Parts: sequence; structure tokens; C-alpha cells
Amino acid sequence: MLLLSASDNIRVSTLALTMAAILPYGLILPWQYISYLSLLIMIQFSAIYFKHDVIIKSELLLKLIFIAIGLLFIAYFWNPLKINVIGMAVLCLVLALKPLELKSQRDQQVWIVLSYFAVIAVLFFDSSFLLFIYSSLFIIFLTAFVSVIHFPGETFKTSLKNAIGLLLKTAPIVLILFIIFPRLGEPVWNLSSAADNGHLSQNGQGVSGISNTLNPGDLSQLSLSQDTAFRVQFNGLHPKPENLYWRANTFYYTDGKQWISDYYVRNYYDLQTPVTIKKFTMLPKKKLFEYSINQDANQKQWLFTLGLPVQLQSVSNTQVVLSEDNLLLAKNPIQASIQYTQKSYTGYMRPGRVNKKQRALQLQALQLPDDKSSVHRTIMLAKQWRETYSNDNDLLLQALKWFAEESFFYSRNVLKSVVYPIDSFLFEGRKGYCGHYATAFTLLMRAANIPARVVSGYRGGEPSDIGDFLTIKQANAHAWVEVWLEEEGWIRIDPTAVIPSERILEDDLLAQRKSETTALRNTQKNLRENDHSGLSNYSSFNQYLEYMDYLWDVWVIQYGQSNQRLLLTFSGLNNIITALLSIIVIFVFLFIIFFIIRRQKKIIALVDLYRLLLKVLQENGFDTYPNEGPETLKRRLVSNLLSPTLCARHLKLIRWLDSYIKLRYNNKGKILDKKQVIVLQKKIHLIFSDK
Amino acid sequence: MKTLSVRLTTFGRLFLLILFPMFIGAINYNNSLAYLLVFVCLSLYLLTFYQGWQNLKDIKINLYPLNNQFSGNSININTQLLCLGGVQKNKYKFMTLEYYLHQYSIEPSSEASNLHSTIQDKVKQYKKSIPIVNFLSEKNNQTEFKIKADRRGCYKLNSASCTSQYPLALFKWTQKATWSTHSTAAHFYVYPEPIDWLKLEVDQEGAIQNKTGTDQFKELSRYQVGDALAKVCWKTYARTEQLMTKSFEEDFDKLPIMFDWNDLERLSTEQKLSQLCYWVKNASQQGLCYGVNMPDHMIEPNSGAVHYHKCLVAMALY
Repeated sequence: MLLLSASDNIRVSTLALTMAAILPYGLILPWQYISYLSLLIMIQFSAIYFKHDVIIKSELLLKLIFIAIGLLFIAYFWNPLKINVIGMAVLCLVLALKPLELKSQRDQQVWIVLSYFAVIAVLFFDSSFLLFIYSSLFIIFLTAFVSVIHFPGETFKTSLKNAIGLLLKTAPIVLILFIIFPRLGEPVWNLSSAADNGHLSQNGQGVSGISNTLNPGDLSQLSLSQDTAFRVQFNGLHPKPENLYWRANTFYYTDGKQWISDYYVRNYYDLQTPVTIKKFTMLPKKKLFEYSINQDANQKQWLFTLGLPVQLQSVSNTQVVLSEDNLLLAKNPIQASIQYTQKSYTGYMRPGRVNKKQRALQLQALQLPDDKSSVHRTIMLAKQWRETYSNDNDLLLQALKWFAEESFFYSRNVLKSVVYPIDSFLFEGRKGYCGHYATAFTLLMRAANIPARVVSGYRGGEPSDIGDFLTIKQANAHAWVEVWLEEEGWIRIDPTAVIPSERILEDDLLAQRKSETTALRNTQKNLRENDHSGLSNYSSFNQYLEYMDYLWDVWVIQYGQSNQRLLLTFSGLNNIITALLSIIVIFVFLFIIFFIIRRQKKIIALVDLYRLLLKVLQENGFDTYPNEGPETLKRRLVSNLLSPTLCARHLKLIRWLDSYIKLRYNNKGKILDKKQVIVLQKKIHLIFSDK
Repeated sequence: MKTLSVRLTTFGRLFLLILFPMFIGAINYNNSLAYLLVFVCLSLYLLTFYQGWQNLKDIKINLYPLNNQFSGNSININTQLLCLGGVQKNKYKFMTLEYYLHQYSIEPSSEASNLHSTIQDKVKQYKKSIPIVNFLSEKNNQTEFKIKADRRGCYKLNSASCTSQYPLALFKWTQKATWSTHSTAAHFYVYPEPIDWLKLEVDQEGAIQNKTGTDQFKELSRYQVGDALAKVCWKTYARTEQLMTKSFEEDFDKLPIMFDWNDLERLSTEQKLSQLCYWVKNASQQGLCYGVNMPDHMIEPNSGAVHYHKCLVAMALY
């Protein structure tokens, strides 16, 4: 093993830190690029290790080649929409190559500053708890490295200790700044993808949840994803698990291939938050659920509601509208994670009077594809039912019965092309995912002249044992149907729910889904009874993580105007200026206290000690003369020593004076030891005590 | 007098430059985590500001006047570093003594009214720094810093100070030094290096030229009654039949010597100065009476410490 010199050690640590700074960008940049940068760093490392100064001193050509290859990579995944991601890619390239030319202290300073930049900038793209921990650790090391570079002779160990000490001491200031620093409502300007989790995704499109179009097979792709879509916490009552349908979007129009959600098909009402949605009157007999939802930035507009929203509170940083069909939509795509609280019913109710706009919506909900050839048999079936059942309700039941009794299978593994057109699904394949069932059912209803619409969203949710909240994953994405019945209004129908469980095909994922559903039911009970015995350690650990993530989300990531306002009102301060003022007052107050404490602790000066002695002597009836120094006082005492009554005290006093004289006049240039002064001070009072 | 000052280092400014866009980004996107880390970095500024102040506030440096020295030797900067109040040893690391050396073309006036002309006559300024290593172990807190005197001239140690960038090099705190005596004494001279160029040359030729000595012949004079017979120059008498008396340089020491610039034509200016300096140094050591003749002015023969200094200063400033 080759021994590394001190400067080599610094170089190696520089490279290691550079690697650590670049690593989190694996979340954003393509892995090929990151591995190229790692390769560059490895080359530099081996150059140091084998003392090949050629690469370290680096001919210009070599550097140019490295840069050119890096730029080629960047050109390869160039995307003008993600200009900031490209910027990060360039930054990473610079960071990876900077260690090649660390000649002066200035170079090292530039490198350090760039590393700080990189590690803070990555948080704009990904704000997970783990990444934050990683960044914080990195900052500790970087701060330690700052003092290693500037103060040669400082060991890394002591600098690390100092850095941790320093950073811990910043904690109170950071906390106060974080809490009271005034927050902005919405971004002033926006680079298109800044909040889009930034991914330059590797395979064309990222899994980002439900979208504005619905292809019947779409959601089956999502069923693989374990990403969290959003989290819900119920305040008070929990709805039954079978009522957990989280609505996001509704679809009225199909071109025969897919469902397209047209923004302008509906009417919208502006909401000012907090708001009571006045459109509805309270229904005393139905249960009203109150819950808070935490939702990550997803560049989509939908907020999730459980059926019929009645009240909406504290939507942080977002303006919300309510659509005619009870969807909550953000006015602008959601750029940062948001939190909101709402009260809603799980079911709907029929409005007393159906107005024009609602009628128009119902008409929209009767649309059939122009190209009837692919749905010919479906229409025929529906017409056949219509002839038998004149009542809409009966027809609906018949349809559900048909799905339950015929040999329909619920399966994820269906190719889109095989299953669509819907005729072949209903009459030949009979294997499908929720999208297929919802599409088929909607078309059947529409063919029978019953208004129906497809709803996309999420179903269920995974309860957590630790915090009282549900996690809804992307795998919970679901599509179902809402049907207009003249007597009841819109009602929710989930055609997949009627498929008997033996016909749910047992591929592993569906098995998981099934077990999730049962687990949901079980844990829903457990939640009430605090019965944790059924869970393995692993899952409880996982749930702790989930809970941490949830708390992190609510209190740190989501911390914004609304939380700030909440905290401020909680602490009795109504606006940010009074808060700032009071913080300043508190600070000043603390400072004053701090200085008073220091004052008291301040050690009495050596000169004052003698004055103190004289004062004590006076109090005890000794003759003292202001012109008398310690030496003369001592001499006087020695000559008086024969007087028997004061003997013991005299001796103590002389001894005290001896040590005082020695400390003050014969210290041999040593630095005054505080402790000795304190001891002397204490001894003054001991002279006249009888011990 | 205010002696403690602070400024942001280049690194501190560079770091701020980077933090600024991060901060703007955090505000714009309302990114809590970015807020957190930016606040952490900003409070590092606050904290290190305070710690730097703590580090230097109780330090006091006294400077003692500097001695004149021949070029090539080292000059001692005598300082006394005092810690007022209690000291924690490990805190006082990584301090440096920074000083400015100002070089003057003419002798700076010690009168306050002439301060202006002094500043104008400044020719060069050297900034130097020496690390202070663990001064607390020194006796009486006296620390000597040696600086090499390499160029003749008149210098002034200007604004010496104790600085520290500890702990993160974001701020540089500076504690100015004070003079233990009146500060106008602060200028000092670096004389030319005394080298006997002529002797070196002669040595190379292998011959020894004895210029002085007690039995050195001086002159002949007419014999007068009473002159010692031993001193009569019989050779001359044989030749000219005139009695001449030899006189020897037995009282050579008392005679004034003139060291002349023009005697040294073959040497370069610096070498001439070095040679003159050597002669003056030797003459002064032997207690002779000497004067120096330089192109711009002449110093009448004299002896004593003041005269010695005067000669050397003239050469240092030439």
C-alpha cells in the first residue's frame, strides 16, 4: 500500500467529498451521466494513488476531452424545458473536474463553495427526509473541511468536532429564522420543471399518477408503483374502508380509444380559503368526515376528495376551485407539496332542483364514441336490457349481476390492444383491469340512456399503526363509475367490486393488492383497539419510517404561510411583524440576562482582592490604613503576633497575605490562574469564620 | 483607542455569493429544506463572527522599537502578547502577526508636522505575515519574530497586527499592535552589508597589501637637533649628504582618515557601499577618527556612536 502524503490526503478527501456531492444527483440525472462523473473521479483517485502526475497536472487536452464527453452526454439528454436540470448537470461536471486543478487555496475555496451550492440545490428537486439527512451530514463534513484547508495543522478529527459544535450552536437561530421568516404564497417565477421533481426520467415518462386522459389499461402500469400519492389524516370519525374512494378527475368524453377530460366541460366556482362550500346544505343524518391531506408536488391540478366536499380549510399556497361535479382543482398545477383540510360526505345527494348546468353535464354523460363499430355489441346488449327493464335502477342491478355472474376476470396482465375495443373485452377476453370495467360499464349505461361518467382517483389506503393516518400509494390508483339516477342523483358504482374474489387472478401483484384490502379491514379495526401484535417488526419499522416521513412532511416540508399563521395565532401573535418584534424583544432580553450572568460570574480582579480584604478587616474591627500595602500590613501583623488572643486569625491572615503577595508580585510572568484567584477570594471569608 | 477590527474574507464573500441565489430560490419556491440549510449557513456567519471576536478581544500586542541592522542579518521584532482576562488555550490557535514594512527614500522626519512629506516619500510597501505559534508557552509572553533584512534603506514597521480567521475563515479579525514606547521611534535602518571587496580581490591575486601598521613609514623631514639617531635616514644621507629624519606613523590612530568613494572606481555602486560600510565598521571598532566622502555629500571626520550611525545612515539611504 502506498503511503499518502498530507497534501494527497487532502486531495483524496476532496475527491471523496466531490463524489458524495454528486451522488444525490442520481435522483435527477440519468444514471449513465452520473456513472461517467464517478468514472472521472475514480480516474483522478487512481492517479493520486499511483502517483501519475500526468493526469493530475493534466494536460489541457485531457481536460478538454473530459469536458467534451460530459457535454456530449448533456447534449444527448438536452431538454429546453428542464433547463435547470441541465444547469445542475453542468454544475456536476464542473464539480467533478475541479479537483484536477486545486493549485491554490483559492481553488479549494471555489470547490468548497460549489459543493455547498450543489448540496443545497439538490433539495429543490427532491425533498425527502433521507436526502435532507444526507445533505446535513455532508454539510458537517464540508464545514470541517473548510477549517482543514484554511488552518494547516488542524487535524480532521478536531475540525470535525468543531464543525459539529458550530452547527449545533446554529440550531436555535436556524429554528427561529425558520419559524418566523415570512413565507411567500406562490412562486413568483417558475422554471417549468423546478417542482416537477426534476426527473430527467430514463424511460420516457415518469410514473406520476393519474392523468388527464384515461386509457383503460393505464392504471395497470401504476399498480406496480409503491410511490406515495398522498397521505390522509382523519380528525375524528373514520369512514368505512369500502367508502374510501378518493376522487380526482371525471371523464365524460371518449373517442372510442381513450377517455379525455376536457377542462371546459364543467362549470367552476372560485373558492376563497378557508371556506364553507355554500352550494350544499348540511345533511344531519349523514356522517361528515373531517380529514387533512398531504399531497406532493405533481404538476397536476387535482386535489383529492372523499365524495362530496362541504368545507375546505387551509390550503397552503394554492388557489382552489370547485367544479360542478364536486371536484376540487388547484388553479395552477401544484408546484410544491401542499396540505389541506376538508369536511366531506362519502356519498352524494340529489340536489333539490336540477339546474341547467347540471342538465348539460348529464347530456355530456350520455356521449358514445362516433365510431360505433367497436362498441356495436355492447350497445346491442344495453338495448336488450332496456327493453326488459324500464326502471333505471333495475337495469343497473342487472348490469352488475351480469358482471358478477358471467366469467369476468380481474387481471392486471392485459395488453391494451387486445382488450380494446370494448366489445372484445365484454364478449371475448373478459379479462381486464379497473379501467376496462369502468369503461365498459359506463358505455353500457350510456347505451341504455342512463348518464354515466368515469371517475379516476384512488381507492383505499394503508393505515399506519404509529400515526393515525392513511398512506395512499400510486398502486391504489383506481377507476370507477358514477351514474345518474333520477331519484337518487349521482351514485357511485364500482363494477370491479362485484367480481368474486376467486376470479381475481392470482398474479403476485394482485395478491398483494388483495391482501392489502384485507389488511386494510383488519388494521382499521386494530387502529381502534391498539392491537399491534399482528404486525411483524419489519412492518412496524416501516410504519415508523412512514410516520417520520409524515411528520416531516407536515411540519417541515409543508411549513409555509398557513402553518406559520397557525403557529403565530397559537402563540397569540397575529401577524408576522408583531412576531418579529417580539422575537427581537426576547433576544434583547436574553442578551441582557446573559450579560448579567456573566457579570456575576466574572472573577474579581487580583487588585480588588486586597481591597476586599481590607473591607473585611474593617468590618471585623481591625485597624486598616489606606496607604498600607500588603507587605507592610504583613510586617505589622508579624510584629503584633505575640498578642495571644488574635493568634490563630493572625496566622491565617499572614498566610493569606503571603499567597497574595506571591501571586501578585512574584508570579514570574506566568498567566494568572483563575482558580487561584477564586481560592484566594474564598479564603478571605474563611479568615474570620471560626472553622 | 480602538484596535480591534473585522472584515469579510474573500472566502466569506464567495460563500455569500453562492448562498444568495439559494436563498432567493428558497423564497421563490418556498422550499423549506433549502430554507433550513441556507439559514444554517447564514447563522454560521453570525456564530463565527462572535467566535472570532472572542478569540481576539482580549489579546494585546506590544511592540518594542526595532534595532538598526546590517543587511543580511535578521531583525528581531520584539513583541509582547498579552491576554487580558482568562484564556482557554486551545482557542488561541491560528493567529498570525501581519505587518507592513514601509520603505522611505529619505529619512522620515520625527516631527508630527512633517508627517505629510513622510508619506509622500514612501517608495515601497511590503506586506508580510508570520504565524504565531503557541505564544502562551513563552516566558513573559515575549515573542521574538525574526525577519530577514535583505535590502538597505530606511524602514518603518507600519500597522503590525495580530489577525485570525478562526474558525471558518469567513471573517478576519484584526487586533492592532501598540508601541510600547513612542511610535515615532518606529523607523529603523538597514545598512549595506559590510563586505571587504578590495581585500577579497587582493586575496584572489595572492598578495597581501598592508595598509596600516605602527612601523609604517610616513615622511622625511629635515634633521633637527634632538631627533633620535635611529630615525635618521642614512641612505638618503649617503646619497644626498643631507641629514633627514624618518617619521613613522606612531600616532596614526589620531589622524583623521577619509574613506573615499572615488577610490573604488572598479566596484559597482552596491559594492562600493558595502566596502565603505566595512571600512567604517572596522574603523569604528578600532576607535579611529574617520570621515566618508560620497558623491552627494561628505561627512567630516569624527568618531563616536552618533557619527558612526550618521555615516551608516548616509550609506543606507544612498
